[in-house]
Order: sequence, then structure tokens, then C-alpha cells
Amino acid sequence: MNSGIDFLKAQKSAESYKAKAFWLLRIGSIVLLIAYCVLVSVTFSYWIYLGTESKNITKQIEAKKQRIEELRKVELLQVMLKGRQTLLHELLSKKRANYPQIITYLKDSSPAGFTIRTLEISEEGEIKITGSAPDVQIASKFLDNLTSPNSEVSFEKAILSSATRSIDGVYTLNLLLRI
Amino acid sequence: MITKYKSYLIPILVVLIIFVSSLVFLKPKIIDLIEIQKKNSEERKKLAQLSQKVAALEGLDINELTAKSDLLLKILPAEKDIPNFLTALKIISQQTNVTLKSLKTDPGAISTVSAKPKTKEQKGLPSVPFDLIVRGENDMIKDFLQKVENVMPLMRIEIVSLSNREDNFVEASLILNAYFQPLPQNIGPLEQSISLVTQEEENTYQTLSGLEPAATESSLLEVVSGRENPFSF
Repeated sequence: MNSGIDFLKAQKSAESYKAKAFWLLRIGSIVLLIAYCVLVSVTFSYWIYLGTESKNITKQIEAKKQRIEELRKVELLQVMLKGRQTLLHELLSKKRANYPQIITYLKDSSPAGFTIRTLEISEEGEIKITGSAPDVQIASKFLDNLTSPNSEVSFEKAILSSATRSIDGVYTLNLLLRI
Repeated sequence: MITKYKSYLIPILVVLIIFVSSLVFLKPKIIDLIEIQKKNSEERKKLAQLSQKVAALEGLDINELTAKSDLLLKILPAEKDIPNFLTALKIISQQTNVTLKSLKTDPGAISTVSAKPKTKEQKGLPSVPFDLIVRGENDMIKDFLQKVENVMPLMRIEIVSLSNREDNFVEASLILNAYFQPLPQNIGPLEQSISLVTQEEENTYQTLSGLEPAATESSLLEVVSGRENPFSF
């Protein structure tokens, strides 16, 4: 019988394990180094790419600015027009009194005998009337015409500020209206 | 002992190289990259704005703009053209057969943009105020009121007071504003975007383009300036 006891078996096993570990460590570090080199290359390449892109964009911006300089006269005209048109539109969009229409309407609403002595009309549609009538019926008819629901012009406000009768029987009315 | 740690040399070297070069090279490069990227993004937006502006400007017809600006300058003069305003009022009164009894204005400095005008500054447009008194029959006065707001240059009645006279004539006292608008001093930097006219503003322009000029070239007042030539007979 030739059976021997291998006293070095445990030691051999430990050494083998250790050698494997070192081998893995070595391979790992090489792989890590390669990966790092790839990362550096990618970073560097991207940096070059961004630099080139930046130059292209700057070049395009300069070209556009040059073109805008060539079109400066067009821009000047457009700015001038836009400014004027905006202000005119704002001005003309405001609701305003139509003076001829109001004058015609008040004249047509005046019954025979009623005289509009003074008439003041503001841009905002405030109307002050001083009128006279020889009798109260005519004065009253004028007021009815103004406040009639079928009237051509509708008033937001209609106030009889004063009504006086003079010694000769003439009635004077002061009215404040608002369209 | 050195032999014992010889196997660890390569991994340690690798880690050391990676650590040092990251600090010296990689980290600053990455920071630089982020900044360049941010800057490129902003530049791209700027480029898009400029491209939009170029496209808008190239879409405009300079002949059309010139024709419009000529008309708008007649409707809304660039300066307080007092002689033109006065002539327009005089002509309108003649055309409507009303008598121009009095005409007053207080335009302040006849200025360009640099001076401070003494005018009634409306919220939007500056104007020159006129106080007039006209006299005529009722229909003539109505025509006058109608016409004065439908001619070039643009004028608007602020307030009108009518009083009936005993001879069936009407006397109208008006406060009228004649508008003007100085030319823009500058049009802003190149990068400033351009505003186009809206449809409503265009509609207003179309309405105004129907206005008639009150005064023709020949009817404008001749303003004599300078000293008299002492050698002329």
C-alpha cells in the first residue's frame, strides 16, 4: 500500500486561491484602466464636438446679424408703422360721441315751439342742453321724446337739472344727458 | 517584503493614475463641458430669435411699407405742423360755408423730439389743441363737425358747444385736438424681436386710408423766413 498523507494540500489550496485572486485583481485593474481611457476619450471627443458646434453657432449668428443690418431700413419703416398703427387703433377704438348724429337727433326730438338755446357735447358723450318752451306741454313733449323707449339714441343718464318759468311764461329747461 | 507586495503594484498604480488624472484633467473638462453646453443652448435660442426676425423682415415688402408710411405720415404728422393744421381748418370752414370767427392754439415749442412740447398729452398720442368758434346754419355746422374728423391730418373734437342765435344761425365753439407723433429715435438693438401689425390695427388703417387730405400742396401757407433782401426793388 502506497498511500501517503499530503501535508501540503491545504497550503497548495490556499496558494491556488491566492493566485486566482491576484489574477482577478490584475485583470480588473486593466479593465478599469481601459474603461477610464475610453471615458477620457469620449469626454475629450465631446468637448471637441461642442467647441466646433459653438463656433458654427457663432458664425450663423454673425451671418443673421449681418442680414438684419442689411434689412435695417425695412425694420425702421416697420417700427414706425407699427407704433403709429397701434396708437391710432387705440385712439379710434374708444367709444365717442357722434356729434352730427346727436345734433340731428335732438333737433328732430324738439317739438314745434321748443328751442334749444345751448347745446354742449363732450367726446365722452356728456350732453348739456338748455332749451326753452312757451308752455309746459311743449317742454314735457320734448322730455318724453328724449326718454321714449323707441328713441333712436338711448341715454345712459337723463337728468333734468332745473326747470324754471320766467315772468313772461317761458319755460327754461336744463338737462344733463349721457349716451 | 517588496516581493510580497509586488503583485499589488499594478492595481495600486492604476488606481493612482485614475485618481490623479481625474482630478487634474477629467473633472475640469467635465465642468468646462457643462458650461459650453449651457452657452450653446443659449446661443441656439438667440440664433432662433434672430432667424425668426430675419424671416419676418424678409416677408415684408419695402414698397408697401413706404406707401403706408407716406400715408400714415399725412394722417399723423411727425411734427407739430401748425401751418398745415391751420390751413386744413380754414379750408374745411370754406368747404362747409361756415365762418371761422376765431381760432386759437397754444402749441408750445415748435420742437422736435428733443424738446418738451407744451401740448395736451393724451394717454397715447400727443396733440395740439385748437379753440375755434365757427358760425353758420345748423346743417353747415353739422357738415363742419363731420368733415373736421374725416380729413388728414387726424383731428378729433373734444367738446363742442352750440348756441342758437336770433338770426337762425348757430355759433359753435369747439375744442379740437390735432394729432401728431414724432418719429422713433431708435429701433432698439439688433437682437430685439419685431412686432407685426395685428389684424385689428390693419383694419383701422384701411378705414383711415379713405380719409381725404384737407389741404393740398398749393393751399399750404407760405411761410416767409429769413431777412428781406435790401437790394431787391
